[in-house]
Amino acid sequence: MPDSAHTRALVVEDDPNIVDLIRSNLSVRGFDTVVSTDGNRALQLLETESPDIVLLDLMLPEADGFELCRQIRERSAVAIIVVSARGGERDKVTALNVGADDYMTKPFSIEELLARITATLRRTRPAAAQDPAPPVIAIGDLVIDLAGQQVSRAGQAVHLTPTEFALLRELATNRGKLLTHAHLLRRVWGHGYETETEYIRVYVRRLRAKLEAAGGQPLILTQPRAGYRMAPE
Amino acid sequence: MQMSAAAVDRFPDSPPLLSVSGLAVRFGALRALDGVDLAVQPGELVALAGENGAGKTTLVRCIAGDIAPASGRILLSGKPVLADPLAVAHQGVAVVWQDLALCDNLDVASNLLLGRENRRHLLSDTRFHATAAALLGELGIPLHDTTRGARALSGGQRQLLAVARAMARKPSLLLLDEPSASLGVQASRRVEELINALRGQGTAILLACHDIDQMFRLADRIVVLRHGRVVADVEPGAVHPDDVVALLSGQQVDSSARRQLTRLHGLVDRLVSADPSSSLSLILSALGAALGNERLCIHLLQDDALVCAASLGVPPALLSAWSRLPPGPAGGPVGLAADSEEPVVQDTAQADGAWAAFGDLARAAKVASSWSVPVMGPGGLAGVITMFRAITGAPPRDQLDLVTLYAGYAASAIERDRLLDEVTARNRVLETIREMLETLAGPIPVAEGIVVALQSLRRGLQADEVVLLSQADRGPPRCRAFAGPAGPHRGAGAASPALLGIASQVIAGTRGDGVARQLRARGGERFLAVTFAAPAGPAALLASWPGGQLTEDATALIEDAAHSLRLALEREEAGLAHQEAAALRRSQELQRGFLSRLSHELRTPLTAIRGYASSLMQPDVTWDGDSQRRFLARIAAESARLGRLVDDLLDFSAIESGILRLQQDWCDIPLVVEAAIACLPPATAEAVEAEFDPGLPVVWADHDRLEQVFVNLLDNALGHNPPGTRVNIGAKAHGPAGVTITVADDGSGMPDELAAAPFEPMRRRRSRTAGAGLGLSIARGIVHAHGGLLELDRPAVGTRFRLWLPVELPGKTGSDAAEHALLSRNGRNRGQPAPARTAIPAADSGRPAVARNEVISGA
Repeated sequence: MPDSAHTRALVVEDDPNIVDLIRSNLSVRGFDTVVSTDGNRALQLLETESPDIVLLDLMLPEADGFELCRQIRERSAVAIIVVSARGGERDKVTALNVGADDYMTKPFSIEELLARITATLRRTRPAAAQDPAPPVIAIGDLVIDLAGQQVSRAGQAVHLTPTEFALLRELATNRGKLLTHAHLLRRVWGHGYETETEYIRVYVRRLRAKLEAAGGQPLILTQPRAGYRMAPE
Repeated sequence: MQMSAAAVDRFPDSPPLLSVSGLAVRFGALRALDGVDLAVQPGELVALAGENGAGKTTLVRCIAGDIAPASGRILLSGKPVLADPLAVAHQGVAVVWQDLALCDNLDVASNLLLGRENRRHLLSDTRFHATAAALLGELGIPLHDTTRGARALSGGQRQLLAVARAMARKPSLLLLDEPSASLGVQASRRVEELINALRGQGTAILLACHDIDQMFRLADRIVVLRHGRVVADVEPGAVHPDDVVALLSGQQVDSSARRQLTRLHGLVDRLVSADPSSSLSLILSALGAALGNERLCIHLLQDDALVCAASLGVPPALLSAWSRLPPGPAGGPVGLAADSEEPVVQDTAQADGAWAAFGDLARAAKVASSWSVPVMGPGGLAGVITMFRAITGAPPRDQLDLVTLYAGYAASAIERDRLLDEVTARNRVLETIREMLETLAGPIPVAEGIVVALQSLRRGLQADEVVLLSQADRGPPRCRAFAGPAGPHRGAGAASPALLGIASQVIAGTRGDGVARQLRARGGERFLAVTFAAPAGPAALLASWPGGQLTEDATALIEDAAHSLRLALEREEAGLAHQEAAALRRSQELQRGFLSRLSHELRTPLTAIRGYASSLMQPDVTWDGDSQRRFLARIAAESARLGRLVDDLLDFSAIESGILRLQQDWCDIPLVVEAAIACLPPATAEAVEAEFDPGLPVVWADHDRLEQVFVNLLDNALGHNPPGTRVNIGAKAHGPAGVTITVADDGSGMPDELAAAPFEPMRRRRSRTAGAGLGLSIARGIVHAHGGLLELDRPAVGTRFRLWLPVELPGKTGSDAAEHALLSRNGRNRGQPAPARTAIPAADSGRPAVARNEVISGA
């Protein structure tokens, strides 16, 4: 179990049973939990409580879950796991597009909940110091500061979410090498995620949108049906 | 030099023989000639017209060399003419003066040969006279005795002699000053003949005179002098004698020509503003006045016969015989004129000729002669105008011309009338089409529009009855609309069975190609039928005329109408299809929404159950007793909730598929209601008040299901209203065969969007007491399965549901408690409409079943 002594979770959910479930299971494992049953309150709590992870129910009675997710993402790089009773692929892609790091469907088991929380937290924590990669990688006009988890392009800082950064780091430290979908999913999201190809597609698209100049040199190259690679020198 | 156009034509390349330019002569202060220009070609006869003192004689004298002009030039064959008569004579100019200038003391021969005598003449008298006589003979002048003294001759003879003398020299230019001023008709004529003969030989002739008629008889050109100036240089053919007179005197002469012109203007004005039907009479009366004759008639060509359209002063006997004439000789002068398209002048009606067939009539009517002039319109012969006279003889040329002129007016009037008729007819047709199109394209529903359109069509066709039939799916033809003398109808209305019968035959028999076909019935009625392909099946449009008189445009109009009706029917069909599509889309949306909500409703308790159970099974955690108990209680509660949801869903599904099973027995309503109330939590049960009529009959029903209905209604009343709401259930008998139960609350009333469709699976915000929102829907399904009715009232305060149950369904009662009632999808119960349904997929079927919202008239 990762050290969760100071990990705080914001739970945005209106079903009391689920709130009870999550709160009980998280507190017994040492998490702080803060609960909000409506969207506006949730945004306030985001400011005041600075949670490490947000568990967001898409089907809130008074709010549009996707919109709320987008607003949270706008304000913070906090890890977001969305929970939904609907399970369609379209919903999943939409959720990822608006900034969610992970997507969980109801009904879920507690094991699954905990596993996803752990994976997401790990991904969004800064890398350990013994990482053999060089501390700074420069590609074209991009400067990737691995230790500081910062990226700048042509001198301008680019804001990336932890997941985006994790994916970029994986690609950049294996520059020129073809990385399969499965490999990327396992490395960035964790075990059990190897088949979630929508995740990888959405996040590659997000990286490209943020890092590649329109009409300029592509940064991430697609190998159809196989995987991706960072453009070689 | 100006030459008239005809002169140019006749003498294209020759230069003028005589050319006068800018001639001016003054006698003291008087300007006898003031800038005169004149040109005469060889062989041309120019008449010089003018009143006394206008300058004619002066001009002649100038040209003859008798006086010298003050200015200007005279050229003869290009050579100037000097004021020397002898020299001028040598240049080939001969003059016949007004006073003739004969030598009275000499005889004819001497006068004739004066100045041209030669030695031989002088030597021999005989030869002298022979020459003279020969000359006179040559000229055709009947002066045989050349020895007569000039003094002894008559005025005419003297004139002739003077002319002969002038002509004897064979001049190239002959000047005549008033040659026949004092002559009688016969002599005048002879002189004119002479002059004409000379002209024919190529002599240029300048004739000064003031006899207008003579001018018009002889001259190629008329030059009018007035106050020493040339005021006109015209051709006789181009001008009226009266106009020349007017020019001469400088005043408007109210000649007969001018009168005629005024009359014509007046006629035109009247015609323009007159009623078309009276224009022919107007023309005839004007013509009669113009001719000074009052017996006229006009025949119009209609369908190969000449029909008398108007007449003036024609005796009745003749009129009736001539009311209708065939073209050709059998039609008398009228028919002949029509046939030949030329005027037929019958000098004598009695003689063999055009009047041959009508000789007696002519006598009786005192018709001695007639003229028939064809009236030519733009499309050929339009009619014939005939004039009758009581005296024999041919009409003067100008009168004939006048009649032809009036005939032209008549042609225009006839054409105008014809065009007006055509326009009126076309207007009627266009108006009809416009009305129909507006009606059918407009906002009113197609079914009504068709009725109005048929009315318009009936007017436009001037038909007796018009009917539109359509046939759908090989069923019987159905009458969509009918318009008849008594007014329009949707449906068959008062259409005669004969008409319907024919229409049905037509729709079955003919091709639906939109072409009109005529049919005739035994009774002499005529029909026009058009069949066309409407979206639902073949359709037929039929119109009937009892008298058998179809209008000319009927065929085109009915075909156009059929086209418009087809478009309207297509629009109707499209509208229906659109509605169906919209209903289907709506139902599919509702389905999607429903399924989505449903999945959510089911997953929520499942999540709790799974979550709590897996929490309890975590190996690495030990839960305290409170938590454990709480988890387990939640598992139990959510399982129960899930169970209820599933039950509701199964009920709903069974109702939708029509397979709801009822276990019926005789039920005591009060007992059922009380049982329902007992299901409620005690606190809320207190808010419910029940009252029952004494003597309430028992009903044949499923006790448990009825209880479910009441529980749902009470749940709805209590769950959606603020706490403290009171609920009242009442039941009373409704006649001997039914029971009415009301469940009323005084709460906040139902929101509008829910009240619009209260029994649909509800789209509601998530509420803690929620089922899948199926409660009311299930309640209604159960009530309908019993043959009853459930309705929502919206009183001023709160909400009220009204339930009606039959005591028993006919044929279904029995004491067998296990009997169940099966209800078909479109169940009809004693005249109640089938409920509108939204489809939910039945349990096993993969396809949604859609029912159209229809009002089915009660059995």
